[in-house]
Amino acid sequence: MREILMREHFGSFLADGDLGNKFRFCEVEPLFNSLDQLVFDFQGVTNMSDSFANACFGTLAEEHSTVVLNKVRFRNCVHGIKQSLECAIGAGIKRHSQWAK
Amino acid sequence: DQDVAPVASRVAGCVDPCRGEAFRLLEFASSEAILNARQHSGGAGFVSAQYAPKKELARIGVADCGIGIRASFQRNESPFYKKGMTELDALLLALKPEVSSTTHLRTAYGSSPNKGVGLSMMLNLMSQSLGYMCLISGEAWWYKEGQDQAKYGVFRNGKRFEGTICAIAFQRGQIDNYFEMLERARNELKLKSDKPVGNIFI
Repeated sequence: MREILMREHFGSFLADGDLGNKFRFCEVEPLFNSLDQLVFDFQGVTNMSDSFANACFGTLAEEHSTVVLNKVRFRNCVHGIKQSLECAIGAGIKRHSQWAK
Repeated sequence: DQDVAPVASRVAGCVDPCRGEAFRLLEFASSEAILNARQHSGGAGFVSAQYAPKKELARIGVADCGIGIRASFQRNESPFYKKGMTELDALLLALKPEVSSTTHLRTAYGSSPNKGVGLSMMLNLMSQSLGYMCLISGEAWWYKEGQDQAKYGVFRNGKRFEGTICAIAFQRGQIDNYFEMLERARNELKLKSDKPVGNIFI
């Protein structure tokens, strides 16, 4: 299990979809493939754009589908960030099932 | 190529220094508008923010001197691009949810980071706060005030703006719960998944 402190990487506002995509590809994917569980800690994060949520977590779900639901957990999320993550991951899984057909 | 977050936070701080609900909404909206300019324009961008206390209007503007919306669809060989598409067609298309000129592209980091939800989310949030939004790209313009019908057209006599402008204003007094507004916008735009993702929060 590995815990990633999002504030340490991005500060209190997770905004930049390009940075989210790069972070997913360079740091999250290698861990995702080698660990049983990944925990993203949102302590101190107050806001997140849809671009960031979709680029980082939506695309992770698009690549790995429902495996994400077993491997990934989120800690210390405020209500709005939970909504954003649920939306991005749900959309990613949906995209995966569309291109898998 | 700098990180969008500090710029968006500074813009939001101009109009809501107390960092309340309006601050977070403006952070969200300005970050999406700045990202659009950076990812699609291929040119330099400019950001402005202003607060009009009498009208309680928080205004942000992002302008770029890039290629414009239609050329972005064309240059990226977007499946949404159609031969003969006008600049107005492209502008109206870009406002639709899950439409982006780069969604189909692969990047050095795999899938495109763009899912095409930023502009439609901004539009919905503006509408909820009874503000206004204006887009200009090339010869095309589009304007919507509050929940009224949008107006759009092309400039007369060959006049045009070489690039894209996104100007958006929110009524600060109408922003009472930012996260509720976001949820309403996602519901109305049907961006939420039908299937629950289960218990991913600890």
